[in-house]
Amino acid sequence: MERGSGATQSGEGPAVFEPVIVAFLCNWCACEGADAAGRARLELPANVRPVRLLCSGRVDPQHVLEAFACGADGVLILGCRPGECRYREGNLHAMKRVALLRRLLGPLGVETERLDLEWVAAGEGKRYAEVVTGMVESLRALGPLKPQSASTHTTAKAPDARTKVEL
Amino acid sequence: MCRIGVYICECGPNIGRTLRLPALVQSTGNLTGVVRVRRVPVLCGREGLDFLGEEIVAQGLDRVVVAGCSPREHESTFRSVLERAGLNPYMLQVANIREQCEWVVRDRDQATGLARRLVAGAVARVRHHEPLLPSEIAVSTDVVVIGAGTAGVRAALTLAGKKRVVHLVERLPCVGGKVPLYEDVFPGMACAACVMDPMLDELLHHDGIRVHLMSSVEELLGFKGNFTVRLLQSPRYVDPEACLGCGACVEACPVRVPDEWNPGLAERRAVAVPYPGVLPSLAVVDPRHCLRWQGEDCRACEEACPFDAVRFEEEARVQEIQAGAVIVATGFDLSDPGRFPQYGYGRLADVITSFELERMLNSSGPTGGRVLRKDGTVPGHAGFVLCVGSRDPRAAPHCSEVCCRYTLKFLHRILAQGAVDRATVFHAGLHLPGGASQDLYRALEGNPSVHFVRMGAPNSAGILEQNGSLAVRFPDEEGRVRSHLVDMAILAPAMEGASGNRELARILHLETGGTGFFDQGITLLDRVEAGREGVFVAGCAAGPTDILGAATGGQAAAGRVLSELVPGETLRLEPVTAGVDETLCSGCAVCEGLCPYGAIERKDDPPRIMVNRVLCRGCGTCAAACPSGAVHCAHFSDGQIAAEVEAMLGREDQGERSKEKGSRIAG
Ligand SMILES: Cc1cc2nc3c(=O)[nH]c(=O)nc-3n(C[C@H](O)[C@H](O)[C@H](O)COP(=O)(O)OP(=O)(O)OC[C@H]3O[C@@H](n4cnc5c(N)ncnc54)[C@H](O)[C@@H]3O)c2cc1C
Repeated sequence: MERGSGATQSGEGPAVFEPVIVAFLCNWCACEGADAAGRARLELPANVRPVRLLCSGRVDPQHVLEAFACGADGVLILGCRPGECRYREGNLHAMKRVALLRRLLGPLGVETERLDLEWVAAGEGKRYAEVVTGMVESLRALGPLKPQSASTHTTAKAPDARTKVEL
Repeated sequence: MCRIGVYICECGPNIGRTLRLPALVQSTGNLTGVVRVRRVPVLCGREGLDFLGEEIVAQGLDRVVVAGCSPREHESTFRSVLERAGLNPYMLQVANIREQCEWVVRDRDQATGLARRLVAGAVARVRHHEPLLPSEIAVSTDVVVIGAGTAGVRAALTLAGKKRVVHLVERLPCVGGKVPLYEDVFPGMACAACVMDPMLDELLHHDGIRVHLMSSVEELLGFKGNFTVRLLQSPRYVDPEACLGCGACVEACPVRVPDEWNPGLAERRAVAVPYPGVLPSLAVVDPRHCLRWQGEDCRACEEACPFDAVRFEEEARVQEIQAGAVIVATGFDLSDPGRFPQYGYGRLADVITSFELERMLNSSGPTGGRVLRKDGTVPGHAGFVLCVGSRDPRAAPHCSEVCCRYTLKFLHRILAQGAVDRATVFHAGLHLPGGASQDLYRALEGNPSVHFVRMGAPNSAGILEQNGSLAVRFPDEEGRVRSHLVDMAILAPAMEGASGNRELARILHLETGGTGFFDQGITLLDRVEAGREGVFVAGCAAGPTDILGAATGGQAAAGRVLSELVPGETLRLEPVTAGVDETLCSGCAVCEGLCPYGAIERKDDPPRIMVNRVLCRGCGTCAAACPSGAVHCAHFSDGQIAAEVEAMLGREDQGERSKEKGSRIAG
């Protein structure tokens, strides 16, 4: 059975580290963008676990910390381009939260590259493919999330951290 | 214990070429709560849908997962199957194994591994789903129209013709917009008052139309079918029931200030009847200039009024209106040619705007219809300078559409009344669409008094004073600087969105383009789309147009409202909204400022917030920000999201563990 972090892909050649990425997708843009990538039959890495939300502004810092605690090597939040948010400014709130969250992740032993926020519009299948492929590649280079850092921070501890990232 | 059925759609030949479906079926069968896994050739087809419905009943399922195409395609189809089979439609989760797996991952093992995780995520999530019920609310079919120009009035009358209650909001003390101030109108040279007055009369006497003069929209809450509009009405200080517009007060008023209805041409008093022929014919006191607001106890107008109509004690009024739709018909303003100092506007006495010429030509205007220079003499030679600001990317990139045509109108009028001996039109290509305006042009061809001179580029002329005349200078098409002497220069300034449109855009949550028009929602097939459900835009508010275009826009916007809001029909509200656990809410109201819809209201005793489910759209930004986990989000709860994430990462879903609400802080 494939596992989360640290899994290697089957096939020939030397084993490569295959990161697992949780991608929170806005229903109105990024989700459509991901579907557009599919309709265009673009090739995507199998490393991404998409979670559909109504808005990138729904992503609670808690969700991000939980994903890391459960073994994600990276978390990607994809929202509408600024000015195009279905709910006006949810994407901008997400941006502020990500900025603060990245500062908290350092001390928790999670490299900031492991959390990213990008804008992907509904028709942008190609951009979706580039964003997820880019993140997979950079995490392949970075290696697995060190177990002694994040996984000791269980979900139970996370709420202490999140009180500082109210927005 | 849940009874989950998982249905894996093969989507004809689309799913299963890369994915190993037998392996997917097998692993899915081992997931907690799953009692049934079936492969179906085409689930969205008639047979597939019938099969799904029968399965739900026969297997006694309480939750369903469909693994197949994007939820965009058939989530709603499958939800209705659940509903028909007696299940709540929200007990469904769709795993997108087509667009986000089969079609994009090439390696068979990797694709199968990913599909397993996607299905495991959906199964874990659906275990946390709760039945949700939509609510039906009545819609208001009343309409607020902002702006009482040609477009707004046409819209109001069209709506009222179908018995809709219309609130027509106009910031000026009168109706009609710009057109009643003109003398005649192209293309047919009809008299402006003859065109407008019957329509405005009908408006003011219509039972179904409430005209709110001197009013502005201060706030718009809600959405299509359910708007709450807050209006602020400034006091007129004159009782409209008592006043006849006789003007006795005006004569008595000792104050004289420049008249904005006749810019540069006349003065008015602090109490005034806006212009001759104005509708409604009522006086209005201007507190910016009236002596009473400068600390003096002047009562001249009050004493002069034969009808006791003056009301100094009147106050501003705030009013809330419920409406189902809003039509924005705020028209245009001419841009200030003073922005381009080379034209000398404001500096050279006989450089005027087209609007000022309109007022001079108006037979009941300040000069009684005569065209006069500032020194009172008649100009021998009039120069019309087109594209002042228009079609220039550094100023207004658009064509203002009506200037070439109203210039032809001016030519016909001034030649007919012998107001000038000669006229020269400085243009950068004439825009004369339609047969009637071509006729206007042809009728001037060969007329020795009229010259059309072509400039090299729009917005490229300059005007200098030369021996008591004006020299209009511009580079011609070869780049040679040319100069023509005229006695009076009439500028055609670019039209731009009405002043105040940007503020109004903020209030209505719309966007304006660079020149202040509400043109951001317009598509090739739709000129009244404003970019927000239930809000439409008509006339020059959407961009430059002529009277016919404005009237048509008003009718079109009204038509959209009539077809979209039907009396007796209800609006189904999605149950996916936020909610609050009052026992956890501390009333900090962090969420209140974040809500884009004003759906969160703060309450006291004890301090807490409440979510207005009519206004909430379920985006969840409040839930994401709540520091105490008190705000939750239906169908996108923390527990549902966490279960999906954990299962997709291969963690065993911890079953009954609920991470909703309090357990998060209790942690
Ligand atoms: C000099 C000149 C001559 C013209 N001659 C002709 C002609 O001969 N024939 C022709 O077809 N067209 C002519 N036009 C064009 C014509 O004026 C417009 O097509 C017409 O006025 C458009 O009507 P409207 O209702 O869109 O806007 P407007 O006439 O501008 O009316 C808009 C109304 O909205 C009100 N308003 C604005 N903002 C607010 C707010 N925030 N809240 C409440 N109310 C607000 C305004 O006070 C105004 O009453 C001419 C234009 C110019 C400049």
